[in-house]
Amino acid sequence: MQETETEKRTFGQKVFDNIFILLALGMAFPGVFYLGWGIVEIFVLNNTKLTDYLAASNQHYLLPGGK
Amino acid sequence: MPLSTPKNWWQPFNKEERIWLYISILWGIIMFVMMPLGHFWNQNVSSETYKTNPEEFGQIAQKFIDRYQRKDAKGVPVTHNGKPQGIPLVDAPSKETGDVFLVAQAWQFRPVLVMKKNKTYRIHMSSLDYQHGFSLQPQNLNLQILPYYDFVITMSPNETGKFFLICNEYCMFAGEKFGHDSMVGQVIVED
Repeated sequence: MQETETEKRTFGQKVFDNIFILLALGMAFPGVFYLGWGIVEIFVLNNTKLTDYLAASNQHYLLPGGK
Repeated sequence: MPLSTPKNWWQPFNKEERIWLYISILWGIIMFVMMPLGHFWNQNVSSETYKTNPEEFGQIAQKFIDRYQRKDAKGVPVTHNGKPQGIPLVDAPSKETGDVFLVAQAWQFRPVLVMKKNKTYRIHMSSLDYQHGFSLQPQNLNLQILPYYDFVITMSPNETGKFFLICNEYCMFAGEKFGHDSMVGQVIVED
């Protein structure tokens, strides 16, 4: 079978043919998303103190000096 | 036919390859979307947390134990092995009555929780020293327990029996003593 160079290499094929692009994508994609996920998690962390929660939920006996 | 790669071996994706790629990409997107959606379908563990510190949490947990520790007929506090220095056995209050506190400390879980089947409990857990793991066996529910961080889970046991808590995060040794491998706690569910 005769090989021809007239056929156009598609973008996808170019990506899949280059292991360094694959490596970069493989590191960048999860890197960006996990970083974003981590930032979101930090922002949704609850800053309420346990003692404030206990006072608000009427569990005063657990507080310092509480009975 | 030669085994070496032909010069221009690439070709546009054929139909089958394209279908498999689309399926893979679609499945990847579904898996990705499932992560946030899991929060709305109650598939993820609760993310209720509070700030605390080891000294404070230790005192709160001790007050909880003092209040709810099981007593025998003579009024003597009951421990897991019947000895005074054993781990306290606590009749955990259900969600309507109060919260439950579980301490992880090198190398024990304290107290032993006694719960009732089909009741709902809110369990606060924190560590007094290192990072520990909360692995409820044989259900295989796994969480991290960290110092300075009170993590609350809501649990409704639906079967009776004795269950074990295993520390599955390697907790550092203090001095020359190792104990991570023996860090096992208990949860007892009664009718």
